[in-house]
Amino acid sequence: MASDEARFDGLYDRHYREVLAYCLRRCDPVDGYAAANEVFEIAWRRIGELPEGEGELPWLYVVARRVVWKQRRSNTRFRRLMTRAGTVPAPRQPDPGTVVVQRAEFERVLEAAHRLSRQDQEVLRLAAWEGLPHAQISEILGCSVAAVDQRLHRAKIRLAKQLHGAVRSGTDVAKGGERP
Amino acid sequence: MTGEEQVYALFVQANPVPDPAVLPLELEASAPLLYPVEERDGKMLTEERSRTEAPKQKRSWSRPLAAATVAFVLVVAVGGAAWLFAGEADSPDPGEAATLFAAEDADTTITFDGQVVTYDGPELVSRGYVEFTFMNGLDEAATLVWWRFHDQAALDAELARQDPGEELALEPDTPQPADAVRQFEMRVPAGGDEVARLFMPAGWYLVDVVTTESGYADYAWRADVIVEVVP
Repeated sequence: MASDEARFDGLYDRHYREVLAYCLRRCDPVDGYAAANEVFEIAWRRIGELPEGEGELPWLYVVARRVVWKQRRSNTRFRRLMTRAGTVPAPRQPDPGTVVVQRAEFERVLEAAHRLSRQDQEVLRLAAWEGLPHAQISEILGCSVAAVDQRLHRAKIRLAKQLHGAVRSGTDVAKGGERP
Repeated sequence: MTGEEQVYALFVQANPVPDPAVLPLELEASAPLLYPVEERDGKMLTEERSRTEAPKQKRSWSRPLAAATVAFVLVVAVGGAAWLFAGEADSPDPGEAATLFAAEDADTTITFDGQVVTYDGPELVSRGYVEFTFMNGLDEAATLVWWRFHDQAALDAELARQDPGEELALEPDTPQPADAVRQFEMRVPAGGDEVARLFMPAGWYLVDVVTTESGYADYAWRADVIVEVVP
């Protein structure tokens, strides 16, 4: 057990901030910290299943991806319930400490990215924000490296189209390639 | 640099957390950044809620029906470990013992009233006949397709391959599950109910509930009912 604790401590020291950053890039601060903590709670429960060495961080990202996804879904459900109940809580305001997007062009590109499919968004974020090599992204997404290359390439094209479309029209454009 | 690469470079710069090293480890450490919280009034009293009997295990969830949405998907994973969605908050902890229901006692109802999908049933049942009631509140027919996976790894691979995203939506061109057997189908007319008594061998089941609107591809939403069937 002592070795498990030592391993967990090492894991936490090495990767907590990276996992926290992953969560904060996708959630508001309260949810982001909660998600990061949940990731490490799961890591502790499954310490025996953790891959060694370079496999640690992709494993944590896979868990974080699911935790964040679950959290968003729960929040969406909650808001829907509140909507039906007639009391919709105001969405939280962006946190000035983590959302450093102040320039209008950043906002525009983020809005354009938000209109992409979930899959496109994730491959873009993993590459651009987490800065992961394609081999690690393939581990996280459960696909081949070649598929990551292709997805990222297509996602970049769609991101540019979304951005340029929004700039041209000046209004929201329909989600590219998405259902009506 | 191409236009795509320029936009991508802009996206890289728009990283909301460019330097994880400066993040405080605790949320409390960023207190000045916290949203205003309600302050406790000195006159407020603390009352402990009376304990009540634990509610029957039940999962319910809801999703909006966009005007153009014509289908939803319900996933019922039947089989081994409960860690289907690793780390999901309401997935049962592997360490927790679930109550085992005999198959014939497993009263499982799947309801969709047009706004809310509800699954009412146990999370752990024994192998055998399970009666499923599907109540379709839509104004169009819906079909439940049961895919059976022989092992958890195959289902995990399928779920990893298909990320339904925040809205639990599958892409219109989502390919059919791989490494799975098409085990059952239930077609339920608009506004109708259907009861099926299905023999459920141990394994993992993925149940897609799909409706089709003419002129569109099938649309589907994936939900997260996790049921374990043991031999």
